[in-house]
Amino acid sequence: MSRARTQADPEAIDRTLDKASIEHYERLAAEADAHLDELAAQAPLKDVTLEDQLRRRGITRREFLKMTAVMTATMALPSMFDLRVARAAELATRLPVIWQELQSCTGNTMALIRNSNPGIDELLLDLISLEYSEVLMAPSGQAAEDQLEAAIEQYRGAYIAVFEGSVPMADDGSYLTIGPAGHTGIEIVKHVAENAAAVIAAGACAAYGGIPAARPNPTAAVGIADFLNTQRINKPVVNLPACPVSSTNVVGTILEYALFGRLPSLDAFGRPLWAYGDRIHDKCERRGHFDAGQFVEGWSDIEGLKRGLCLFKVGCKGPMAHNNCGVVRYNDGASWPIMSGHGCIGCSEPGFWDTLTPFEVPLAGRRFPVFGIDADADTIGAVALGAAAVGIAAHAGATLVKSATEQRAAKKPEAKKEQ
Amino acid sequence: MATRAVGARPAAVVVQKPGRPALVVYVFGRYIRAAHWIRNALLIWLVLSGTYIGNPFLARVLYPETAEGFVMAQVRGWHVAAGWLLLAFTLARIYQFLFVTKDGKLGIGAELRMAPIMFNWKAWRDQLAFYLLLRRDHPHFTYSNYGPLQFLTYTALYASLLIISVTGIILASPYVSGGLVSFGADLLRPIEVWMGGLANVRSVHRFVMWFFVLFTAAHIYMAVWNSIRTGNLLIEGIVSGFKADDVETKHVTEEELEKGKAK
Repeated sequence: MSRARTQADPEAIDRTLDKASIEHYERLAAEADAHLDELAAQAPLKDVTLEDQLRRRGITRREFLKMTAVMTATMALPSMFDLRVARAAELATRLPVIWQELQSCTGNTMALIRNSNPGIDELLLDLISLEYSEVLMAPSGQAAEDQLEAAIEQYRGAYIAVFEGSVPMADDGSYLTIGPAGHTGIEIVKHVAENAAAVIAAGACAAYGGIPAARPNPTAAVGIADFLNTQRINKPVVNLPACPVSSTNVVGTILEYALFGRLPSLDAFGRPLWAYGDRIHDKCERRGHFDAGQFVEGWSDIEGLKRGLCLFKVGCKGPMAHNNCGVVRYNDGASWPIMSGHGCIGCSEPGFWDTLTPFEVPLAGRRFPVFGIDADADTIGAVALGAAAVGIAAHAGATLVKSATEQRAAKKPEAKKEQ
Repeated sequence: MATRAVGARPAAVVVQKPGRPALVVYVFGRYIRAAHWIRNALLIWLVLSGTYIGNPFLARVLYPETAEGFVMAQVRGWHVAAGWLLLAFTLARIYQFLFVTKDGKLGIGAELRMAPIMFNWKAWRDQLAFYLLLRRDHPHFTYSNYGPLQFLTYTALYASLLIISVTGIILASPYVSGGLVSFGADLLRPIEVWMGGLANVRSVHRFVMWFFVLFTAAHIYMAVWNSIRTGNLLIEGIVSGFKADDVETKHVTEEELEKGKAK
């Protein structure tokens, strides 16, 4: 693709944008062009080209541009970035990536590679220079270890480290060892992250600890950002939580890095705003029923389920969860949990495994351990109120007895006088 | 009941009725009384609407078609509106507590100066003894309108009002774009992160609500109990503004009443 075709074309700018926005996006576009030129000047790391990939997969250029246009919109960029994103996808071959498994179920990799049709996600995964990935690569044992070392050595300070899974901290990290040398998760993350340009935590485990970190967290599992903080390793980290993370969000983040040479703007929990800025609730197709107070009352409420009413009362945590599932969906955009009739479990929220459980009752039903019993807030409150009522009744009774005694004592001397 | 106003503003009134306190003083001004009952109404609405928001209990048969009514949106909207009003009352009261002196001027608040009562062990002993029926007369605290137990409880109450307002703003912010809620939520974001996300914020919001319910139960009982036990007209006071003089709660006898009438 020629440089000229991606030049900012004032005619192509969305006419609904105001002047300030246009200036903002033009600045961004110039930034993107500068970085893409920089990438284009570098030697490609692989001898695969976009054209080869497209031809091999039978994807026409038109289809490819449709994919990148969708991706551009998902990344909250206007249409003037369509061709720039396409160019970024092409140049992503110059971006070395090390994908490191930790304490995880590999579900995020699975979600990426199990697309039934080769979408842009899988295409990009093939295009980027994936230097190391336990799940996908051929070498094993010492050969794999050598590959990792070689990649770190070759691309020191330039590669993106993607982590999948949490880091167990208990017992010097001995709950997770990888490779013939038995390196612990602690050693591996330190080694890989220290030499990376940027770190992506893919999935709920890498982002916030995930299921392994659920109470009582026997392995003392932590997310990557928390781990790096404890080790005082200062690297930009972008959290891409969800269980599994949608492939669109991984690819979008890598594309954004290719496009601008930096990680996206993040929210307070380290998540890209373009993907996690809104709640599931805000983009939900059943939101109208929520506002109207029309809820599926329980799993036997067949009528409510058939009408597609709001799933809040059967435990949907959409109002607490930030993600773009309702827009990009899963499995090639086929469906997503709420569409298929089960509430959101809030898997992109920090601590969801503890704070948003039990999954099939509203958050009001969250259990807290009190005196060895798990009870929800309302039960605890009602029991406390009952105890207060008992205390009040006891105090009132005691007061009645006491004042009766006082009155008798006050009368007695008078009675004596009369005698 | 024959009453006589002392001065233009009824600062104290002599009551002439057998078994009633001899002297009542004006302790609760118009604003205090109005605020008390408005906040009471607000809290009842907030508890009821909050319960609905947490676990919607109204049957959906109320609105067969989605477009016919938005009960959750309405309840939520009025819940937030009532919350803002409660916060306004809370901030006004905290301002008065901290900065309004005895003669109504700006300075170190008169009530703030009463805080040492919380660290007065004799006061604690006297007040607890009174409530545990170990002494008959209400202890009198020379420099404080409040006993130590009251002072602690009300401090906790206002701290809780602030906590429930802060958590409320954080919870309300995703439902609106811009405005005061968003502005507040942006300021409070570090607190949200520190609390570990919306789920914990919501749980805290609910637990603090239960504190208010418990407080209300204990508050009503203790006020009624106090009023009956000491005859200090506490319950009447929050309606009329007049309460028995704390220094010498003397009850009018038949003789005094006769003398008063003779005059």
